[in-house]
Amino acid sequence: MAGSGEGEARQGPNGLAERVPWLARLVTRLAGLVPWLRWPGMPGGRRLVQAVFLVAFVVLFVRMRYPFHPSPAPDLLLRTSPLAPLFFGAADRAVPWAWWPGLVVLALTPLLGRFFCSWVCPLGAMLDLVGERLAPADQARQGAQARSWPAGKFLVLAAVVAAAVAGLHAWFFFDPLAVANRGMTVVLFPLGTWAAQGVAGLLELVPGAGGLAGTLRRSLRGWVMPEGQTEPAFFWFTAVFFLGLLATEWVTRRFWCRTLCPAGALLALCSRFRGVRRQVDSSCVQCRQCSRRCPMGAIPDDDVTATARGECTLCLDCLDHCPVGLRAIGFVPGWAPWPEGMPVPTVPLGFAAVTPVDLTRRRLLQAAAGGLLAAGGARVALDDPRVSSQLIRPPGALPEPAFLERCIRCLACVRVCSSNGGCLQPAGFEAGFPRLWTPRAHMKAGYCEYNCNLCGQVCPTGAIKRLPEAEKQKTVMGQACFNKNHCIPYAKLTDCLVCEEHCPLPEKAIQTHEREVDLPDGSRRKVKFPYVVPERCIGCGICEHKCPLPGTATGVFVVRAYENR
Amino acid sequence: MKRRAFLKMTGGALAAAGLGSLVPGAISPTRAQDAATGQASGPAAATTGAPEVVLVENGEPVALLQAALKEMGGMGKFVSRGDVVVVKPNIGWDRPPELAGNTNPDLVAEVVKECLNAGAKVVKVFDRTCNNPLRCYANSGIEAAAAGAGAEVSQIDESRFKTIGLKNGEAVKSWDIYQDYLEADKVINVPIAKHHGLARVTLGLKNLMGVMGGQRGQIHNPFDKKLNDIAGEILPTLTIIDAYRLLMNNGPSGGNPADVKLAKTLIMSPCTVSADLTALPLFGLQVGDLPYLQEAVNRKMFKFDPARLNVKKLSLS
Ligand code: SF4
Ligand code: SF4
Ligand code: SF4
Repeated sequence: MAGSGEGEARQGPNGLAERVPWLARLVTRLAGLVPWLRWPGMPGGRRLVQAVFLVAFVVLFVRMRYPFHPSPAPDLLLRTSPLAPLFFGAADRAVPWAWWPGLVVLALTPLLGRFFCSWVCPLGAMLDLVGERLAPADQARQGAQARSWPAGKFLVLAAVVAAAVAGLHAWFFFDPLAVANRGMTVVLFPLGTWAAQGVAGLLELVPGAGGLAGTLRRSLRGWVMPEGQTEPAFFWFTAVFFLGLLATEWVTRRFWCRTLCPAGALLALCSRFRGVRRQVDSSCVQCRQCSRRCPMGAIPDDDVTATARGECTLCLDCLDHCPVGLRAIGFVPGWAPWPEGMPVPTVPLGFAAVTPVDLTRRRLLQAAAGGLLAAGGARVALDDPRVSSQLIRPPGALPEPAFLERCIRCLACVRVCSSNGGCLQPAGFEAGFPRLWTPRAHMKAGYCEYNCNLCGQVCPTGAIKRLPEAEKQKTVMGQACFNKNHCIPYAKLTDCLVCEEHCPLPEKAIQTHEREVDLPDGSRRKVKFPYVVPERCIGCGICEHKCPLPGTATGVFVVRAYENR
Repeated sequence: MKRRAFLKMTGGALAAAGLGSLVPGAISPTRAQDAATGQASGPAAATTGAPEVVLVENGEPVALLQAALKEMGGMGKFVSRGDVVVVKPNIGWDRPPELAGNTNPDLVAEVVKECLNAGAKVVKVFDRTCNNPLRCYANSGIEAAAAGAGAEVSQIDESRFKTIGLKNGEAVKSWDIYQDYLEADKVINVPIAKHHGLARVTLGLKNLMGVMGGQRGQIHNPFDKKLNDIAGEILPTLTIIDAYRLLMNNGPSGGNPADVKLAKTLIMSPCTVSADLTALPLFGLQVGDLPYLQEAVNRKMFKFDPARLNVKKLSLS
């Protein structure tokens, strides 16, 4: 990694500039426009774009429900993940065109650097919201002086790549799009809607505000949550993980992006010879405001003319902090000559020009070895059949190994299911680490709605197949079993048949046979005893869901068996 | 949240709960029933010459309803000017009308129109569904049809159930009933006649389960007693049984077109039990085949004596 530096970087593309002059002119023109993205006097353009992407992300998230809106595709922005095309492309040995938004990001990065991180990424936008609006304006959290470890993200990337090569797919635990959608599904949306309803409830108590409260409730119902309050499983850990991630903003601005995000690491690598770089001219008075405020710590404190190419996200905050009237900062093509009279940066060159640390080969190997070990652990750890037999997957899920490889744990399926049958819930630790956050059908929380096929429609990865409705209705998720020790007719010799009533199949998979039984008082009574016709049952679980017996004592329950996968 | 804000909120909620139970006359569990009894019981019905039950065959849903209402003397006999009316169809299942899992949407819309024409202040339509309510309301066609006819169609809000005491309850002494139902001046019960595994056939009485809260599965045992315990307390003003399409098997959810029989029939009566009894021959059944209906008869939950029921039958053609 070491050995190449700012000087070399400037020479490298020089040849390109001579060979393709029109491209060079275009890039120069574009780079000259960059500062204009900041509107005079206010931190405009970039933030506007970032806000638009965040709002679009939230709107698409909210629209992931019944009634279904197929266009724009609800998973469109999830597919901006730059990591997914890498891993899926490698797995399929094909260009993953379905991930075209992510491919566009990857294609633009060599030109613009990590622009994705401060313009597009919804997790980055959430972090900015927290870091700029909620966390105290403490100088120690900002700029190059703040605590962070930029090498970390490369180690994470090395580890997840090594693990993936060895068969454990873990990169999506850290994929920013998956993390953001997971946080929305399990934490922000449920808490947010709960709070909004609370506000409406409070308003109702205020004299004269009843109408307002009604409007709030109606618009919540109409626009945001026509279904009831969602109650996600595995809430507590996910909340700690996700809110904890946002809370790193109290330590360091963009701590996640500087230190942990493997997508950031990948984009940093793609920014090695970025086409547009920051340039400081001789009007700079060395006030070092830019270095102290840069959210990414990309500007070394001891040399404000330098910029770490793999850290700078083109957020343009440095322009805002450069003393008014000076405007010493500009953006120029990567190969533009160093300005007259400016000292060439004194910071260490080499990989440090990409990121301000010395990332040693030894560390990278260690991280990769860690990834391998994790893959080994996942391979040898007992996959407890008592647990896996309960992991009922969404209808149309790929066979388990392929499913675990594809599913990025974005929980889009869980989100859409919450406005349908509501059975899908994220798996927790009980399912084992490699299955963390995968969708599983929890038939007491909900059931699979017979006429619904929406989880397959919103899954961005194809981990759940896009089944036409008629095919989905024949897709077996599992198999209902009666527990005669609990089931009321068997255990209490009295009729019930709630399960049979709800079985959605045109020819019910629960049938009954009527027998006369002896009662303790010597009398006899006819009782209808239910049983399952295995060839018909698709394991939708509405029988288990509606069984009046509580919790684990249900008279009928679905197990993972005879699945079509 | 700050502690003070939290305390305020809890206090507020408690106060609200307390206030709700103090508002006089806000909730009267038996109002709908009283209205029904006062309207058309015994001699009153006899003197006006209106039949106790009307059964109309051989027509489309709207025509069937119009014919039956004409026999009964018009909707004005049941709904008065300024009434808050609840029309309670069966919207239980995520099924299109052709599969006969839910009440016919055209019929529901026409009932709504009739109520409004009779001067109803507002007509509310709702049902506590078995499948996802959004899907049931949309795919049954009832949401669009009823709203188009001017009704206020809303989904059940689980926080709006109110526990009522069941004075004649044998197996249960109290149950949760939907507040809008309890507060209505008049209730028009519009079930669809269909097969049901446990009950054999579901009709007017069982349709009332759609306004019952709590764990409805528990009503299934003992079904005959619990259903009547609760239904007996909340009988509607008028029951209109949709027998246009009958679901003959695999009910109540249905789904198999082969199980649907086009009967083109409608039954109307101010007495739910009488209406239900009149519908049995459509399925080739007798009251003894339906223990819950037998139980209702035994408990005298009817307004008209089943032994000498005055059923007016007519056929449109
Ligand atoms: S098909 Fe079933 S599991 Fe999938 S979203 Fe719909 S209800 Fe949920
Ligand atoms: S199955 Fe698809 S939609 Fe669900 S979490 Fe996995 S990738 Fe996301
Ligand atoms: S799981 Fe239950 S309700 Fe679903 S098809 Fe099987 S028996 Fe029927």
